[in-house]
Amino acid sequence: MTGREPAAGDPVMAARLLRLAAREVADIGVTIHEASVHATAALTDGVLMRAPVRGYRVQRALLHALTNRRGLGYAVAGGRLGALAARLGGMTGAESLSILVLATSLRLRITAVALVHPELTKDPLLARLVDAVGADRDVESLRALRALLKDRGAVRTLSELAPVFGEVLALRALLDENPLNDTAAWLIATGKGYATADPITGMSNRVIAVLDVGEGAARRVELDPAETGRLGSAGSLVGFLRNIGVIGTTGRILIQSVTGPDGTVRHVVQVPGMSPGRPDNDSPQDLLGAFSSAVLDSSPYSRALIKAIDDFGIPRQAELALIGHSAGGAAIMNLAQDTAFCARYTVTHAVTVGSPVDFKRPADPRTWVASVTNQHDIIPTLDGQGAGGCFDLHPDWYVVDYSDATHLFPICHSIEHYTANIENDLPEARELIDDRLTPYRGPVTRSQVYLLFDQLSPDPSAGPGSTA
Amino acid sequence: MPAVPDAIAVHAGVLRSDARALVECAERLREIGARLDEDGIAPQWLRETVAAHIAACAAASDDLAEAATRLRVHAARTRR
Repeated sequence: MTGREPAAGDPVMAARLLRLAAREVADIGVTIHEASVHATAALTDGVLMRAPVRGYRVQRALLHALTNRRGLGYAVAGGRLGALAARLGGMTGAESLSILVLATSLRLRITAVALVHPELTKDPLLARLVDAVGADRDVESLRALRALLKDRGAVRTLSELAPVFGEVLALRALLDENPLNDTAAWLIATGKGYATADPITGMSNRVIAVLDVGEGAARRVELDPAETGRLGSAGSLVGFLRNIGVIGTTGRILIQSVTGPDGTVRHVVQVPGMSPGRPDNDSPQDLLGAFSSAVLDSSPYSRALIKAIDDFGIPRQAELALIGHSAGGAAIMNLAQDTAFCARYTVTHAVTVGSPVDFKRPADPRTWVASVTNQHDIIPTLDGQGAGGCFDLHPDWYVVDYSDATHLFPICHSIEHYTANIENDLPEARELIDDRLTPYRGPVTRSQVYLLFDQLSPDPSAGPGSTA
Repeated sequence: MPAVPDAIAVHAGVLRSDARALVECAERLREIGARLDEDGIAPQWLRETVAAHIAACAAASDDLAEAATRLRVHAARTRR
């Protein structure tokens, strides 16, 4: 007897224990990888390579350790030579023990998610795909994916896979023969950073993100009377989210001043997500802007936000709360982690909704961060961490990762859907965030909308591309 | 030329330590598998997978220990 109650009857507890186990297994995978790197460093050390005859037995022992299928597997790793050899090994399908152990960690994560999302195992098509990926059966994986796409279409397939999207992609990338996606898979599996590449093709995210250029610009614009009438007149979380819904994904953002319960005037920056249309137009709210805001620490979107905030006329050191949806959440987190910005203003709160922000870090440790995500929303998982995440990436944040009956993307990603969930289905989260936002819960004394641009337009009458 | 044998000895020390770490990895894997079994939540595939990982960790530990020994001997010969 251990005194512990079996967790089998409690799916939530069982999922938590499985995620804990997955984390420990991932740690073990990292330890094994480090041993492989050390052995590779010894093998490729010039000291041994310069004495091939005298060092023959040593080199043979090291080579055996690094290629023994019953031990470390094909485990050459680290350094230039190691990386090249690892890629060659990956192309031949030769796997290392550390990769296999990380794959086990990912499979435990998927098992954990399936306990609270039983549709993943009860749905035969989904279960077939997840099983095939986990068992490293390439042809079967592709057949299962094709069957799923044919039966459900791309949108429903993505929506239904969303809770395990990162894990499935990482598992496939770890075990496939494409060496270019291994780093991204490794980052997802170990939780050590933003997936730096597309886990399918291995194409670098940063290469795409740096295509989004511009110093950022902002111009004051007026709302039409109907929109103005729908803006909140007092500060609250739901009110701020409704405001984001009012200004929509039109290239605009809203800054409001509120008088808090203590009589102090504070300011709330409310930032929507990506606008539909051309992937690259002259607004930072385009697809490229969403990408760069998520991947990079500074983007045209965050730089344009700074221009708007500076123009609003906020006194130095005044207190700001930043509220962002989707790509807007990534953009406001870029402000929160900008040391120069945080030296000018005091960012007290950053609240993100449906945003991939797991690897953002506020510059000021006093900034209170809340992240609200729907487990069927694919967008927050684009940094590689989703419902199956087993790493305590930010223990000081308030994280709400919930599930509701609406599994269909993009509906579950819309600001209206998140607002309704927070208002009606997540009372505890709403009350807690509102409680933390108390200094901002007072009458709105000023509202100003800004139209954002990637860069200053030579023609002041020009609008931001397709959103004009 | 003490730098050469010293460098080799450093590799030997690191690999010796890694060999011990791999033994600990095997033990940690065994504990994780046993804990999930005891809680009644171990997936069906886990037992076989963990057993394979444990065996591989043990073999890898032996391989690294052997390499560390060879490195240590080589360092000693180079010193002479």
